[in-house]
Amino acid sequence: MPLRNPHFLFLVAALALSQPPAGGAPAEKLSACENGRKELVYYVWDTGDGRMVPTAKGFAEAISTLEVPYFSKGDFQTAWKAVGLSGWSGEWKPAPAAKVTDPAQRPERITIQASWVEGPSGDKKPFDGAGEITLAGDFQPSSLTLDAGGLQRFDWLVLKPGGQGGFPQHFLVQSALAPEGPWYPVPSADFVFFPDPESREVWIPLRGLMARAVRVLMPRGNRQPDGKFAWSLGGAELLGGGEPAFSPGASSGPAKAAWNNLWLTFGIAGNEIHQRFDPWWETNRPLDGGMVCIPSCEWLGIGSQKLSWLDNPGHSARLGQMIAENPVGPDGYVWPSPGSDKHLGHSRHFVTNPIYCMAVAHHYLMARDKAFLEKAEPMTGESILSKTRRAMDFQIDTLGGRSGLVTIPGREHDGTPGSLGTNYWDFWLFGYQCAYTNALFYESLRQMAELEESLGNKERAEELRALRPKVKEAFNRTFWDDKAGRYVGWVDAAGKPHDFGFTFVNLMALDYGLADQAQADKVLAWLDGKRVVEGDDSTGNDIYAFGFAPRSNTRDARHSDEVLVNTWNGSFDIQPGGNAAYGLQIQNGGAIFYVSYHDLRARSRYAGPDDAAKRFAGIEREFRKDHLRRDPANSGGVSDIVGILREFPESGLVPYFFIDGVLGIEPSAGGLRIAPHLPSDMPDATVRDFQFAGKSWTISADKAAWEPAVDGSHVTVPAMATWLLAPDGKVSKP
Amino acid sequence: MNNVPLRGFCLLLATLSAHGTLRSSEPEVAYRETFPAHRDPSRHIRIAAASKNWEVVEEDGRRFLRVTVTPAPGNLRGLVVWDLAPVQFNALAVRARVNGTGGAPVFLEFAANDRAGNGYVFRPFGESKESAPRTPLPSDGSWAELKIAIPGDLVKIFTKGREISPYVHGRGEALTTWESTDFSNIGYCTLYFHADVPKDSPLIGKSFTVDLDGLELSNAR
Repeated sequence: MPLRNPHFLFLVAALALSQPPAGGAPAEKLSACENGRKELVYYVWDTGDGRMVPTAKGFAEAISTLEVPYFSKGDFQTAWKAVGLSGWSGEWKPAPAAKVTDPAQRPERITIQASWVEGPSGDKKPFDGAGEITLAGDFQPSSLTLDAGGLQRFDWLVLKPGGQGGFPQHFLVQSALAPEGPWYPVPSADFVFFPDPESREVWIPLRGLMARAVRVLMPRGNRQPDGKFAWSLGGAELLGGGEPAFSPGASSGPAKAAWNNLWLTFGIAGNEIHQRFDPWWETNRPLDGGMVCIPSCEWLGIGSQKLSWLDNPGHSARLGQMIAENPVGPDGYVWPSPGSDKHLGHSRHFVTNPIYCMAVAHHYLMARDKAFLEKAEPMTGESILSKTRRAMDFQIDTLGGRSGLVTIPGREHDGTPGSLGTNYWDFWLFGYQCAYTNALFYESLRQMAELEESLGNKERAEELRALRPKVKEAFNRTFWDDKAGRYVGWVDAAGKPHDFGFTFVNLMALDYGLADQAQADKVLAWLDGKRVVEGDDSTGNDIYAFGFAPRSNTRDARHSDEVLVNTWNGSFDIQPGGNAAYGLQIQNGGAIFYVSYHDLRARSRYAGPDDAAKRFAGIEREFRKDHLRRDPANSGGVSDIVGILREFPESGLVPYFFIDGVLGIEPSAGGLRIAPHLPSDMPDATVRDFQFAGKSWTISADKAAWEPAVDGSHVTVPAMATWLLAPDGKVSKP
Repeated sequence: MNNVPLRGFCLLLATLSAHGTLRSSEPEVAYRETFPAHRDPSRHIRIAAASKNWEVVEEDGRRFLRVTVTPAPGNLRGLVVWDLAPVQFNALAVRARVNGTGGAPVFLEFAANDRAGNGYVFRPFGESKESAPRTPLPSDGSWAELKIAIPGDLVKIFTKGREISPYVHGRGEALTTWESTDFSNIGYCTLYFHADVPKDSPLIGKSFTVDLDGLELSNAR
């Protein structure tokens, strides 16, 4: 419950975030207070050792957290002040002293190959350790560019005051893969009315950003006594170096940068603006960006994948708590959130059962912490493990999964016109016999079998595994449309199949291995535009018109003699010119980025790693345009054409493909299963800081290796086989 | 929490005090829309209702917004939405002009939301506090300047969808029902510009353009 105080309330919340700022650890908010300004503010910290460190913007009533490394022992008196977007600024406030007993190592200084100051007319002059510029008027942009000459990993930008024009009051930081751009924003580093640092260095976190060049853009200068505008700097440095989390072997700089920056933005959301200073909550336009997770069951599986490999106890504990607190009803149905058995109070989502099972299995098999499974739900005292088993039983026994097919009960969810959606894609009336739900059921059987086996329950594991062929057969018998050469979305209670060319259903089915090779070939030929399905509105290259993902469906929602979408009381209009007309709505001809995760995995499984790499190259081309910071609105004023930013933390699954697709790392009963799928132009691949069974690992797959090797915490496996890294650190063939 | 050693990293936390200072007594421009190259305008511009499309155009070195409006019966208002990071201001200025109207009147109105969802409706272009009704934008293609002062030009407030004060146009009454509103501390996050035509306008079914230039949000002290 938020704390409120109309005057002043100072809250301090102790929270240990173990991930260093270079890794982009987002802050976690333990409490909040209503306190003052209604506009956005950012904070600057005087760290007491000659530095000033700013935060990103956020709401004033939220607690801002920031991790700052210290490089020498001692007691440092800290202080902070707030700055509002209007130009308002608070007084300096003293804060607790930092008593540093175990200082961090100062990051490496990156050699700058060239640097220059550029004025509004494009004139450039070298920046030789210091620089300044004078402008004739207000709002005349100018910049300082620092070019490292090659791709680097940047942790900090350090700006030093000096000169007559004054430290820039208005500046933002951008990065680029080439000194001529295109330039990408670092959203957390965008400041207005920046306070005079006086003699302090200004340290701006970049959190492992991969780039060749960094530009400090000043949209306006500082007003001078003579009426002109200017700024000056006494120096600038870039700190960082070292290898990033994802190293795709000999891949070119842009691909290496893309894997890591995709993860930085959509995985851990390190340099994003979190309006509640909390990456588990969305940020509104126009500052919306990446986020970590959403505290709702529908996202728990995604969160488990994204967060379980990180050395970040804060996120891990929060995920565990979410899983523990998520209710599972007496009947075994998993509620979407603690407050209601209906998603957004609207409809029951029966995908919550497989998602819950998968979230628990994945998180446990990664952490191997039995205390997690024993964590009790506060209201009932029931353990996570008990709830998970009941969640699986509900699918098998109550929903009919033992027959091979889960059937969603109730008139409300029978898939006919007037019914309600039952999953993430709640624009559509998925229900009754739903391909989306059954695909998840199939995958949840696999993951739960691994969990049960790891706990010594081999009999139950085999029972779950034995059901999978039955599910696969029923899935294909029920949902495969041989004429169209693809899976339908659902079959309603009247026995009518509904096919609108659902790319996300087909790609998920392929990802989970539900198709045979011939079926997969047909699906991929359709998606690649090599095969036209009669009646489709999107064909050929248009299916991937958005570049970063296929359209959600290739057949317009209105091409049916029935209304098979939920217009949410008329707020969606699917007719031409309407706000949800084909191509103008994420669920009707628009695109959601996370689908590319299943796309990449599907291609890797059925068409080979080179086909997946080709698709990733298409994603990378789009990413290179604008870092996928796009959220356009349609002519109905609704920014729902694409789903990448804001409430789409699942976007982080796409770079996660580097882990479970390229390197093929997936948790299993016996340990980490490593089945590399390296494309032909990638001789090796490495992931760093990979947390497994309480230990941090570096894991490499190498085509030149013949035998697995373990060197301390670095495991290298030959890329051409499947391996098992046991919790005790031994590598073997599974 | 005193003395916080964390493996060389110090966790710093802050909450905001209500006390603060202003940088100077001069009016401070918090935001000026110049459509700079470094920012994607589609991140903060939206259109709806009778507005059909928008673009950023450049003329004489200035970049501004051009919206094509096509009114229809029952859909007379072209809407432009400006999404902002919540910011406080007490003065707004923007230039506007219309083209392609053939002399038919087009009115410009302006409203805003704060981050709590409260709505604020401002005096339409050309309307005076005394009695003059709203006036259309010039039909000769010249620029007109809309200036809004807060709270002086505020005519309605909505909270939770309900109007909390009467529209007092023409009467010059003191808006005493607003006493509980702290106008000095509102975080505006959405601006709405309406290009409005009368229901008998000859522009119905036809397209014309509305240009919006130099949107500036400032705090006159």
